[in-house]
Amino acid sequence: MSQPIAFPDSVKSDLLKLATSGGYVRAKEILARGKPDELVLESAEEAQVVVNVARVEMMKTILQFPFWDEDDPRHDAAHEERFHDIVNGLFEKTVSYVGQEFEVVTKI
Amino acid sequence: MYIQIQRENVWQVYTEQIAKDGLLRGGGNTSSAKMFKSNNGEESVRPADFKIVFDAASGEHIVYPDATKGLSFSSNLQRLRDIPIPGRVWLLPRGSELPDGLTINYKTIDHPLINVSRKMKMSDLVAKLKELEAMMKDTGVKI
Repeated sequence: MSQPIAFPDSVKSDLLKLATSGGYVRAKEILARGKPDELVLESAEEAQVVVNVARVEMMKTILQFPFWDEDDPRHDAAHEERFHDIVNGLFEKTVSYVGQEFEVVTKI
Repeated sequence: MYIQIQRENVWQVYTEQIAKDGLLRGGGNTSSAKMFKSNNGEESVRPADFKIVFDAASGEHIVYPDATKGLSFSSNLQRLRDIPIPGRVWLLPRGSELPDGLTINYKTIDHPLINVSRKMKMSDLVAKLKELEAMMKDTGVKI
């Protein structure tokens, strides 16, 4: 049985854009449901699909902005800014809000 | 259901058993806990954390209370490691008093969300987050 869960509208909108541009068919269906500030998930499997969009984006961010770490000799402030934006925004919010309701794999 | 804690009651809810030394925030660096953004001198907060509405009349971004949102903190280090949230971990030490106008919301007690308790200009919120940041300590832990 599905129950809407509160979810930041800006993050849902970003996830839907990623699902659409990436052709993530199931994620797109799931994220198209409900109001802008809620997720409607029918199963733990669907919860994992949504979390996977955030995990993939996190992995892409690591590949695109590898010099985010200030301890890295090649540290780049622009990489760090973009990296933390995804970590503290889309990734952390998705895994936290969905993880409060479902048992999901969040490791990257 | 989300629960809101008034700032004077934070440490009665987040007891030593629940949050040993205080509340933790991951995803920082050595200079800050990265609670707001700063781009070419323009400071702002993320819409993922706060309900922000642009008021055309005043030309200001206004932040409204929203019990389901807030800056993410954690009651324990293991949660940050398990997710994981890469970066430096900062601590809001037990006993710290949240600046006036801030509150904590939570659905699960291990994931406290710091938010506004009344509507305010985004610039005022950033000033309060700077006050909060000044109370926080770098734990030296990096994930």
